[in-house]
Order: sequence, then structure tokens, then C-alpha cells
Amino acid sequence: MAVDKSDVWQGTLALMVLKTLETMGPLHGYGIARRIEQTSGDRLAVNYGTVYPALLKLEQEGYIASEWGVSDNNRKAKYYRLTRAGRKQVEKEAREWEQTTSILARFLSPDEES
Amino acid sequence: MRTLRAWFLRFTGLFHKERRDQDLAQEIESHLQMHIEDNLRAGMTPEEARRQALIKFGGVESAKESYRDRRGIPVLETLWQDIRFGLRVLRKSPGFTSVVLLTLALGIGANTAIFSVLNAVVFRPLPYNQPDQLVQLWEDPSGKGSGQNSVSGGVFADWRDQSQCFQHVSALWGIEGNLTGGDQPEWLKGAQVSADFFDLLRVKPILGRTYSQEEGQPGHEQVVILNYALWQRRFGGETSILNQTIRLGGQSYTVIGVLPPDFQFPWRNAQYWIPFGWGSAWWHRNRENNRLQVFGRLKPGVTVDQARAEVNALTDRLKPAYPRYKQAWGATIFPLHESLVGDVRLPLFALMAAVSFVLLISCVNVSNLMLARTAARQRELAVRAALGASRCRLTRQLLAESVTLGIAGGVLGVLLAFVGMDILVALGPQDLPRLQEVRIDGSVLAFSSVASLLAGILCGLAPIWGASRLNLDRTLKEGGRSSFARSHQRLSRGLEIAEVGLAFMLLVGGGLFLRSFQGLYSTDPGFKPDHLLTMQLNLPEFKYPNGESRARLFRDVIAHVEALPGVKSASVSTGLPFEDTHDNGVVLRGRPASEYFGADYDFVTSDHFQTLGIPLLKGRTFAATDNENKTPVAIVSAAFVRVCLPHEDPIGKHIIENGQQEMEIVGVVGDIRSHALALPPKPQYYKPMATTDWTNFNLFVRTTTDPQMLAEPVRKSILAVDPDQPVANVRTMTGVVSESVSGESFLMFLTGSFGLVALSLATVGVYGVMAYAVTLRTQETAVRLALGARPVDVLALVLRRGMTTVAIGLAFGLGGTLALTRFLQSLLVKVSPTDAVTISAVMLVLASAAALACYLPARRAARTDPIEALRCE
Repeated sequence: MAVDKSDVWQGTLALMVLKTLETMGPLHGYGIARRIEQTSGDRLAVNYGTVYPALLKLEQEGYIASEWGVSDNNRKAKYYRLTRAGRKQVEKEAREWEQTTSILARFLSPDEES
Repeated sequence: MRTLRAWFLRFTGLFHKERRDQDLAQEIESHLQMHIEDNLRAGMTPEEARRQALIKFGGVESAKESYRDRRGIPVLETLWQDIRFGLRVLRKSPGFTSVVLLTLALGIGANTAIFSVLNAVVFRPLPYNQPDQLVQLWEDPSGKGSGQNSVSGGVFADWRDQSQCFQHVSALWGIEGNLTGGDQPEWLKGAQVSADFFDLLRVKPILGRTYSQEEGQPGHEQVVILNYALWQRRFGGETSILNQTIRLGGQSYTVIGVLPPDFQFPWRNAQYWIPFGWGSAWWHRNRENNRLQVFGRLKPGVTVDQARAEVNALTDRLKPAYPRYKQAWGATIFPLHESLVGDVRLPLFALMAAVSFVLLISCVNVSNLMLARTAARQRELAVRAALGASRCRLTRQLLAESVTLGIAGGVLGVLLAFVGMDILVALGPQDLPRLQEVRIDGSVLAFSSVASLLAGILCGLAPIWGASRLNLDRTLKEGGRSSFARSHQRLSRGLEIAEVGLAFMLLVGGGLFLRSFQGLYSTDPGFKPDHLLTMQLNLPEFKYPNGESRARLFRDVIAHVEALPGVKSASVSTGLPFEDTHDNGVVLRGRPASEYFGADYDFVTSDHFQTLGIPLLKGRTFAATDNENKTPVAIVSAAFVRVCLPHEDPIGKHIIENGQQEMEIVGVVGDIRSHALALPPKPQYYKPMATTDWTNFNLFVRTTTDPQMLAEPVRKSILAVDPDQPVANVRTMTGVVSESVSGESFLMFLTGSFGLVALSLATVGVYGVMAYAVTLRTQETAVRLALGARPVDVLALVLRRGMTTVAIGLAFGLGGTLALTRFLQSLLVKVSPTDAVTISAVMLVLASAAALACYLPARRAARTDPIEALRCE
């Protein structure tokens, strides 16, 4: 394989799931996992199985809700959607991430100003 | 908030597991199907499509596992599993379980009961508002801050009027009176108190009011407050009792209030309360006649030390006004709680220590049993470990079992304690303060819970240690004994040593109290308590106004009583040994004031010494002519003579009492131990009945038959003389003596019982360990026998092994005993805390019990049939 695939960092999976649901609307677990992989440009190696505990955690925290539905190809699947609290949480976490990355970027950028 | 919600959901996730599992399986299944379909669409073969989907998913079972972990609370879940498993295991061996439960229930129950007494008596604050402000004040004959003497009226008034540290200073003294006007006269105990006494305690009556300021003045004191029980019993709980007049001791009192049902002033079981009309009695101003109990409530922020300093300064300033015999006296103040429970703290702590030893022994015993079981279960444990149970998980499993046992034992124990409590309170000495407050409350339950939990953990430690030494490989291969059995046996013997040692200490404690009590009970009180009946008489002052009239009544009563068949003689005294004593300051005429000393005194009729069996040593007893009109005379005790006239003839010398009254000594009698059997006799003098100013008396009847049988005839003869005269407290004198040592007998009984429980537990423990060891070594024994050892050699071998352990235990016990029993010193009478007799007796008893416990398994070992045993292998 030419490209090194990164493992998903702890804690970032939740944000990715939330962001995916924000962009795509209600989606089943398989769809979410696929989407995350695609969005990363196939640079992330997601074990699809790990998505489910993450989904459960988010659901317990009340950021997403789930219900059984029918997929495009007529298959029964559990669909997840963002709750109102989830929407706020995406914004909040996205902001925090941007902040963190921008701070880190300052450290890492070659023309650091003092 | 979010986390809380998540935890709540996880908690609910513990339930309906099957449905949730199906849900998850379905979700994963549909996930895989979608993936496979996508893969097929991408052109893979069906097998490849499925394989890729599964690879991408990354382990269905581990995903499910981590999903489940997230769904519930894994620790709780396994705990619940452990407990259920533990219960199942315990249910499967009901014999083991019930033995363990019973052992633990006894241990925890006994601890709960004793702790509830300790808690009620010592730990719980007094049931009054802001109890730490309450103090008791004493006159202090030692002058060094250690003495506690009742207070004279004059000194009490000094403190009340001149000290600044107190909100209230109040006095109390016990009185008795006949309640008349109902169906029959009834003799009641009461108390006379300062008008602000209930303000001091901050007790509110449930009906009516407490005394007004004015009712503490002479001429206004004819009011009475009833206690709840008397109000219910005599007056039917009617509220109309308020402002009614009742007759007490021949005087009229208006009822102004009723006290709450739970009100008990610990010193006295008083049923009615009347105020002092302060100044109405001669002794109110007198600083020589000591009879009051004095209590104070400190002002907020004032410490006991400050109050003590102030009162002592006051005492020094007023010294010139004090009687000569009190020139060296001081004053002491103790917190009320301290002066109430100070004396019982140590015995109760000793009991608590003893009973916790019992629990410790129970735990060691159970621990040993469980260890043996773990050995039997080592295959099961090994299999579990081999299947992937971590050491931590196995430990948790064993701990869950033992803690379950501990808690179940605790629940049973508390139930036992509920039952035992009533027995304990009934057995408890009646002079144990606050006994009526004993109950199982929150703090007692908290104590029992902690005790159960600790007991459970303690019981589990040995099996856990044993399991941690489990050698998987060997156990599974050999399928039985092996190294585990050996290390287990070492631990088991360690526990046995501990058990024997603890039992030894406990038995020595019990033995010491037994010896002490024996010594005490066999002490000669100075009079002959057998065949002696006693009862109390309270004479109304209006009917018998002076000593002459009282003496006349007693002459009649005695004549009537002595005419009864079975009566040898009868007498009357103001005192009752162990219960009712009075003292005065006296000096010989012509001696300096510095030679004043305290002496007990009583007014007695002439036959008193003969009736009680007190020998007359010199001179004469009283005659009927020793009355108020003659030269005052007195009879003194041998101790009295020893104190002031060691080398002279006391007859004809004169005593000066309280600096005024002179009396001529006409006789000397033997000493009696009138305060307690444990205390040496105090100097005592007697005065003729005809000169008495007291109204409370004790009748003594010397009988030739069972004194109890004469109680009714004697009562009737008194009524024949005066039909309105009730008698109270009819008891045998042996009963009075027993009651006087009820505290000691209580202590002896309880520590003795604990010792016996410890003895049986230890014996059973030793037996258990030995029996198990013998079973483990059946093969070895068989080989020995097959090779020619005689059964008696085997017997000796096993006995030697067993008794070595026991001997080490005894040695530890002896060491512990020598280290610990000295704390019991002050509780023992006439017995050294390292009493050789007790220690050797305990050594002998424990060693024989242990020898028996070793002998039975040893005999079984000796009877091993080698062929049978070897074939079994």
C-alpha cells in the first residue's frame, strides 16, 4: 500500500460521526462508517465495528437519537439522526478543534513569529 | 447533566439484556448485508464480498463486547454475577452456610448489642438541650480536685448567688413520701429541686408549667410536678389533674405540671418533683450538713475550667465562714456527662473489647472453613483461570462470596440483637446510668453494617490468599492436593494459632472477673445478710413530729413483729447498707480542729446490732432511756476508734458533731462495709433512735425461717400498729447485697459467656483444621502404616503436630494477656491482672479442649486402613 492509513484518534470519532450526521441527515451505521472513510479521502482506517459503541455513547449522552427504518435497497436498518443538543455539540466541538489545530499550527509552522 | 443522564441510561442498560442483544445483532447483520451488497456491486465474488465486509468490520464479537461494556456498567454487572454465583455456591452447601451464618450472626449480634449499650450510655449526648453546657458541682474533701462529696445547703447558696459563670445553679435531693387520698396509700420516690431546675435542663412539661420564681420562696412551695408514669397510673392521664390538690407525706400540693414521657433524670427514678422553699429548713443555710446534688448550666462560651477556677476562688474567699472540718476542702466541677458515665466507661469499653474478640475469633473460624472449601474448589478455580478469568476476577468472586456471607450474618445478627437487647437491659445493673435509653438506632445500624462488611472481607482474605497461590498447571494435572494444600495448611495453622491466642486472652479476662467477683461476694460485710428481711418506712412528719414519737412507734412495731413466729428480733435504722448512708464531720472533744474527719452515722433502735449480727466489742448498746432528755450518747465502730483513738479506751470520750452537738461514747461495735463490698469500712457512729430528726427508716427483721415468707406477716403487723403506714421495698438482705454487686456480676456474666463462646469456637476451629489435615494426609498415613508404623505412632505423630500449633497459640495468648489485662486493673478487686491461678486454669482448660479436638482426628488417622486407603488413590 502506498499511503499510510492513520488510525482514528481517540475521541475524534464522535465528532466525525456528529459532523457526518449534520451534513448527511439521518443515516445508518454502515453509511456513517463509509462516509467517514470517504470524507477522509480513504486516509483513515476505520474498523466499522468501532462505530457502534461510539454511536451508543452519543445516544446515551443525548446528542443523537435512533429508530429503525428502511434503507435505499429496501433493507431494514437503524437510522441515527442529530438531536438539537447534538447540533449544538457539533458546533462547540468543531470550534474547539479549530482552536486546537490553529494553536498547534502556530507551533508547527516554520516561520514562527515571536 | 449529560454524564448523569448517560450513567442513568447505562444503569437501565443492565436490564432487558436479551432484547438489546437481539437489537444489536440485527443492526450488525443489516450492516454486513449492506456492505456485502455494495461489494457485490463493485464486482467481487460472493465469498470475497462477505470476507471483505467481515474484515472491514473488524471482529463482530469484540465489537459486540465493547458495545455491551458501553451499554451497561461492567463492574456492577460482574458484581451481580459474582453475588448470584456466590449465593448459588452457598445454597449448594447448606451445612457449611448455616454454620458460617450462625457463627457470624452470633459474633455480629453480640457486638451490635454491646455497642448499642456503649452508644446509648457513653457516646450519645445527654438528651437535654445543649448538654455540653451542663455540669455537676461537688464539694471536694481532697482539696486537690479529685473528690466528689454532696454539697451543703450553705455552700450551694454561695455558689448560686455569687458565681458569674452560670446561667443557673440548681440543687436536687431525693425525698420520699406517701401518696394518700386514693384507694390505698402508696410510697413514692420523689425529688426536691430548686425552682429553676427544669429551666436549667430546658425541659418543657407536656401539661401545665414548671415552677415560677416565686414558688422557690418559703411559703409558696406547695406545688408539685408529676412524672408521666405516675400521672398515667394514678390519675388516668386526665388533664383535669392540673390545679388539683394531692396529699403527699401528709401535706397538700397543687399539681402544676406533668413531665414528658421520655424525661428521666438519671440519678433518681423520681415520680414527683417539688420545689425547695429556699430558707425554710435549717440546713439551707448550714455549710456543714452535706446532702445536695448540685448542677449548673454554663453561660455560652464559658468553659468548665473557667467555672472551676471561679468556684474554687469563691470557696477560698469564703473559707472563714466554712466549718472547721472543711478548711482544707475545695470544689470540683465535672461535665454532667462525665460525672454520669465516668465510672462505667471503662467496664463498657472492656466489654466492647471482649465482644470484638469474639467476632474476630468467629471470623478466623469462618476464614478457616472457607479456606478448606477453597482447597476443595481449587479445580473449579483452576478451570476458571484457565478459561481466562483474571486473578482479579477470581479474587472478586471469592470476596463477593465472603462479603455476602458477612452481610447475611450481619442481618441475622442485628435480628438477634433486637431480641438480646431486652435480655441485656433486664440483666444490666439498674444503677447503670441511661440504661433506659438503650436502643438500636441509626448509628448502631451503621456500626453493624461496617462490622458485617469488615467481617466479610476478613473472612475472605485467607481463601483469597490461598487462591492466589493456585498453581494452574499442577492443579489441573494432578487434580488434587499438591503444593496448594501445603501452603494452605500453613495459613490454616496460622489462623488456628490466632484463634487459640484470642480465646486465651478472652478466657483470662472472663476468669479474672469471675475471680474478682468471687472474692468480692465472699467478702464479709460485717453483718449477717442471710435470714434478714428489710423494708423501708417513711413517716409523715405531722403524725410523728419528733424522735420520741417515732421511737415509740418503732417500739410498738418491733414488739408486734417479734411476736410473729419465725422472727428472732427486729430493729430500725436510718441507714441501709450499700444504699442509704449519711455522713457528718466529727472530732473528739479536746482535739484541734485539724483532726476533724468524716464519719457515717445512723439512728438505730437498741436491738439493731443484735438483729444485723454486728458484734458488740466494748461497752453497751442503747437503752430505752437514751432519749432526748438524757446526756447524748453514741456507739462507734472499730474503724472509728482506729482513726481517732488507736491507743486509748474510747468509752467515756466525747464526740463533737458538726462543731456543735456533743455525745458520749458508750460502746464500740464491729465494722460494716456500708458503701460497697469492695471498699474498706468507713468510720461510723450510731445515735439512739429517740434523738432522730429523720423521717426515712429501714426495718430489719432477723428470721429463723425463709425471710421472704415473712414479708406479708410483717407488713400486716405494721398495719396493725398504724393502718395508714405503707411499707416499701420489701427485700431480703442477701438480695440487697447481690444488687450492690450487680455491676460486677453483669461484667462477670458477660465476659464469662464471651469466654465460653470463644472456647467453643476455638475448639471447633482446632478440630476442623486437624480433621482436614488428617484427610489430606491419608495417603501418607497409609504408607506409614503399610511400612510398619504402629497406630499409636500415627496417633502420637498427629497429636504432636496439632498440639505444637496449639502451644504456639497459647504462648501468643499468654503474651497478649500480659500486655492487655493491665488495662483491667482498676476493674478488679483483690485479684492481680496477671493472676497466676486464673492464667494457669485457662491454660489447662484451653489445652485440654484443644487436645480433645486434636485427639479425635488423630484417632481416625490411627485407624486408617492402609490397604483401603492406598487402593483408593
